[in-house]
Amino acid sequence: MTRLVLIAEDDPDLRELVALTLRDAGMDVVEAGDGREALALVVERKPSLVLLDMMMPVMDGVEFARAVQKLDQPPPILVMTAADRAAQSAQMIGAVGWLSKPFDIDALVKTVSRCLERANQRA
Amino acid sequence: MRTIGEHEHPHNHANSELREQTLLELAMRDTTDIQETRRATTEAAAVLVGVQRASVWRVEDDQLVCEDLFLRDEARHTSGQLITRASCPTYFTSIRQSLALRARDARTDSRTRELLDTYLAPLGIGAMLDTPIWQGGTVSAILCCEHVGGPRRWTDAEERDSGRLADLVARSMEASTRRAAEERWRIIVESIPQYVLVVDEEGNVIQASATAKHAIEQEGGATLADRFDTLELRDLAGELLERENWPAERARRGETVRAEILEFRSRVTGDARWLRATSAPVRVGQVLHGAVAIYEDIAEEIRIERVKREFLSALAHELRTPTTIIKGYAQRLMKTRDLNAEEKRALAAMARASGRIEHLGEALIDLTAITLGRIILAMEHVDLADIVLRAVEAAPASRTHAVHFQPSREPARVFADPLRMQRVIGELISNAARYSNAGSPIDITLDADGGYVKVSVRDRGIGIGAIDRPHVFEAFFRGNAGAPNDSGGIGIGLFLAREIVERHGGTLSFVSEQGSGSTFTVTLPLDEQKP
Repeated sequence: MTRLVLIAEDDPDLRELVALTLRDAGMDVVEAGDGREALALVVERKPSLVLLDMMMPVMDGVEFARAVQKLDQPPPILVMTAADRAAQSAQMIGAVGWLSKPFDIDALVKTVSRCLERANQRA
Repeated sequence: MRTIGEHEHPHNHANSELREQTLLELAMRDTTDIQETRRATTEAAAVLVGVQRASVWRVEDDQLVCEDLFLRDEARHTSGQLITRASCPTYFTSIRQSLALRARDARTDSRTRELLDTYLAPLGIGAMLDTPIWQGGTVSAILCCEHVGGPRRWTDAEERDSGRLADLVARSMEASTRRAAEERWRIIVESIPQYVLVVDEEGNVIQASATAKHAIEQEGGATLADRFDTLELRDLAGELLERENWPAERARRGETVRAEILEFRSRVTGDARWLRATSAPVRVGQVLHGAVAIYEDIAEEIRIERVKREFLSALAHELRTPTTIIKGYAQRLMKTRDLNAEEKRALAAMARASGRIEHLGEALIDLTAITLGRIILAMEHVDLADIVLRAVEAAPASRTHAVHFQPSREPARVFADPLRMQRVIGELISNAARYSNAGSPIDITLDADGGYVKVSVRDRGIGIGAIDRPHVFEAFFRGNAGAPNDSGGIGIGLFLAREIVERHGGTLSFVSEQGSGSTFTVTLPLDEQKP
């Protein structure tokens, strides 16, 4: 089972925290600081899951999701957001789930693992 | 010098037929135009009294100013001449003291001879008949009939006619002063930038500022009443006000309306704006004569208030990412081995502190969402017992107090936003802990009964004094700040708790006795839907 997670988050400290936590939980991680970088990594590395911050420079979460849906095998997206109505944004872009900031790291690992399992079952 | 008799003088006192006609014409004139009245009066005086020069002078403190002089032989008017008080103090005093100053021989008369060199001799004046024009108890002007030539004996009839003409000028001056004052007042009201309406005792608009007129005229109805029919006023809660409760109507009945905030809407133009309304009855003595209402556009204040709330909201949202980082690293570090006791305590403190920032941030987000009118509840069909249990488990008070939860025998199904309801219960628990001693009991009961579900949180703390009770649910109110376990806060917990409960169609109430504790109770409608 592939466990490559792409973290698209513009805040480097949060990105590092998420990356460290997921690596500790045995996952592989690639990181992107904006939507465009993330899109390139999706094409290049074909991650099993994208952990997506909705508010990013250059290309935001909504634009990124729209571009990803046009790919052959779009990876599932898990939304990370500091905005209200996380569930609505997740639904709007067709994400498989959401994490509202501030989340704690146990919840992060639990949610990401569940999404990965489902993604692998589908694949 | 020879005195000219009536019958010998070329400008005889007019015959009775001419007199009647001249006076009648004068009486029928519109006297509100003071300048026209003066001209008509001097012409009439020249004819009636039979003089070559007839004039009206304004009496000021230190001079006389000629407002109109009619020269009969030249058939023309002039004005603007000045006579200073300093040049003729006796004359000045005399004209103010007499009902009429009859100077048969003006050049020798003790009252007028001061005028000889500067006035009488150069103009060839031999006799004067000056009649004061009274206004408001003082002599404000004089009507002068001046005979060119030698001395002249003034008759009683001439004095009477002169008196009548002076009265006419006085009345005209009063009317014109009144009209000028009314006009000035009209212009003042019209120039007020606020929307000003003056209504009579029947509620008809009798005066309005230009801004108010413009706003009303845009409604386009045929009558003013039609125009009002398409206007709406709402209060802060969005309730439509009946016409009889509009500020001016209330003031018309005798009430004073002070600075109430209302929303004005036009169904014709779609225009909507926030107004601050002030209105007061117009009383003459004890009798109500209508009302004056002032509406001030407060769009700018509302905008600034909105900007402030948007800023608070943005700030609270911005706290979310750094809070996640601090909390997350503290949690990660706590999992590392070989921590000494001090390091463990430090990390636990960091976790607690970030938890507090998170709690404040979330409260601020809810507060701003409520005040910006955009809180959205994520409603689910849930058992309230689960929510209360989660709140009890998460409550820091569970470590410091004897928190005991007694669930209901019946299922307590509610339709609620689980996270927000958990926060409400959590707030009640931490509030109970804040105002009671560590170790004392906090009892939580849950009852489902009669279509309602009730959660009560009871403490044995200091209770709430009678003075504080009415303010418990006010935003930013903190009763007993500095109580035994007061861990700080900004006083919005209970305010938010009640707002959230009420948005669920429920109520939040309390009973309290100072010295023996408080019980807060959330009541929610029982969920009809079967699980």
